[in-house]
Amino acid sequence: MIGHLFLAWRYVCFHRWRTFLLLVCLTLTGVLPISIRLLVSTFEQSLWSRSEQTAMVVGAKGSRFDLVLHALYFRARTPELISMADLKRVADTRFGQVIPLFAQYRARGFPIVGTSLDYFDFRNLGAESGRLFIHLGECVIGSAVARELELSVGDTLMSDPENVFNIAGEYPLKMHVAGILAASESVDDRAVFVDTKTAWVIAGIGHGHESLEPDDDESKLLKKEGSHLVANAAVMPFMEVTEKNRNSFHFHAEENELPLSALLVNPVDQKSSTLLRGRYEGAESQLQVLRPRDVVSEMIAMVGRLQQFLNVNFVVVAIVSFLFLLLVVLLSLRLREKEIETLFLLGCRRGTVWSVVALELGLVFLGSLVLTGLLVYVAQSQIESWLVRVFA
Amino acid sequence: MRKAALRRVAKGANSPLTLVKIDLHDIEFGYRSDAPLFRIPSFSIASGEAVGVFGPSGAGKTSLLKLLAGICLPTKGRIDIGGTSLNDLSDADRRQFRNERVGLVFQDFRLLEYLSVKENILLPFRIGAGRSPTAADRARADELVNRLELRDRVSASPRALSQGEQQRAAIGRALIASPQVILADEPTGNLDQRNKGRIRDLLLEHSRKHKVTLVMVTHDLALLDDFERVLDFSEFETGGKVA
Repeated sequence: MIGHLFLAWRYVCFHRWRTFLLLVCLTLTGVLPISIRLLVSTFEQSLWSRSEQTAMVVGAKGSRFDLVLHALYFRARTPELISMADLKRVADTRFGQVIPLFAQYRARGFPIVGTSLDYFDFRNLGAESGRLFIHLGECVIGSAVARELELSVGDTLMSDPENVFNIAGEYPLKMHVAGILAASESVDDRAVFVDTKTAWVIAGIGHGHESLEPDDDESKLLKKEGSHLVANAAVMPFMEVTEKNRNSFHFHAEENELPLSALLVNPVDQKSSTLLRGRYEGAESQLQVLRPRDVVSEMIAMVGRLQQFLNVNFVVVAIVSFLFLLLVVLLSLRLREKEIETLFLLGCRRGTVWSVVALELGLVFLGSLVLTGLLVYVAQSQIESWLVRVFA
Repeated sequence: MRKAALRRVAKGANSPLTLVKIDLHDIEFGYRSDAPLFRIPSFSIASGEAVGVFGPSGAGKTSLLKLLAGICLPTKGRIDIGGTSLNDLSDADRRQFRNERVGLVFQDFRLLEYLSVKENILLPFRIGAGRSPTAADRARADELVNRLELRDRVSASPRALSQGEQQRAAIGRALIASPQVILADEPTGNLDQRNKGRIRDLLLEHSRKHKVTLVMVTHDLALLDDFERVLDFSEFETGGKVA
């Protein structure tokens, strides 16, 4: 047997490109369905775990999926915003803890999440180094953001300009990194957290600039109505909040009008949860109250149906691959007719030839099995962080 | 029916032929039962005897070698080699007999391209018993490699060898298991004049030194001068005639 194995080994090594192609075909046939199954399963787990941690989400009426994905994963912008007045209305019901979210901007590709300090307790997040934000203009970054942007406490991070050609638009804000969160293997690792006020400054709703006095150069003034002065574009807003200019920052909107993209609600109990949902279920309501678990379960059901289709597809691909392999083996046997005849002439039994051919195939299968295992192992270790990146 | 004719060359008549004897008893062979290719009424080859087979294409020279190697069985008659009747052996036993007692040399060398020269020489052990060659087998292969002047080519692929070198490697493969009979089917057919003589000399030298029976088929009558006997297929008569 060892002699046959030697011949098989030498054959597959000699025809290395043919062997390589067969290995790739077989490996892909195995790796793809396994990886997709793993991906779907990790995707489901990730969605379930995040949605289980978040009892309720409140946001403007519209796509339920968009709202839940935004509130859980800070995905893109919500099409409609709500306001601080909505937050107050929900908080006044005393049905639970209400956490504001305003995640419309990005800093070097990572979402900037304007929220309150309650968010960190709600998600069990703590600063690994530094501290949580206290002052306007400070941010707390996730561990992946710190690693990828090579930032540490005390560094600064600029928000992404929204439109470089719009000189009247929002200016980017240079934020000070107050702390870095401990890794949580979630989308929080890839976010930049700021106070909602800082987020509003980034949105251009609030700003700070040099003080304007009625006696100032009139070239800086657009309008002067008694003591009310309106500056023109010659007055540059501050792009960084410092101790010196912090007090000059102010908002050009009523507090109740300040925007939010979603609210996370942690109800006191089941009854509060039901009552809150009931209160916003009417058609006249501008808000929707969602249980992320319900929405996620719908999404997973859709993914499950897709996976069923993929499973059928993979079975067909596997059958086709097997038939191709059979064809390759049969053609290869035809090409090797003379070699096989030589082996017979030299006194080789028919079984020996089949044994050598079977061992050759066995070696290819074994190689593909090892390669499949390695690739699946690599995929398994990468899928989770990849999913987090995809959702962030 | 075509008839095989044997003619003795000068030295053959007095050769000491006492060891493994090949006896063909009233052999008839054809690929169609109603049209035999040739018939040999009675023919013996003794151990150590070198017999050349000469004749036109399609006369049955290669078929005779196939019969002697146990690859085919005669349609009539029997073949005994060293007291063993090939007719009585099963297909598997004839394969084993061929693997252990017969060395085959082909015109087109038939080396396996995915094995090196030395691995090709050691091939009969791997396909026969399915085992790895022993240290003794390897030592014998080294000895053959030296004798066949392939020392510097042991690790080379057959593709990298000249035709003469390929045939010498094929001869090494035929001799590795110390066969009692060497059957060479036009071993010089693809070689230049210089290599033809060299291959013929190698086979004859081995046959005489080790008292191994050699049956060599060739188109080139000049190569058979030193053979004890020549079986000339060009002198066929219906019914077969052994000279």
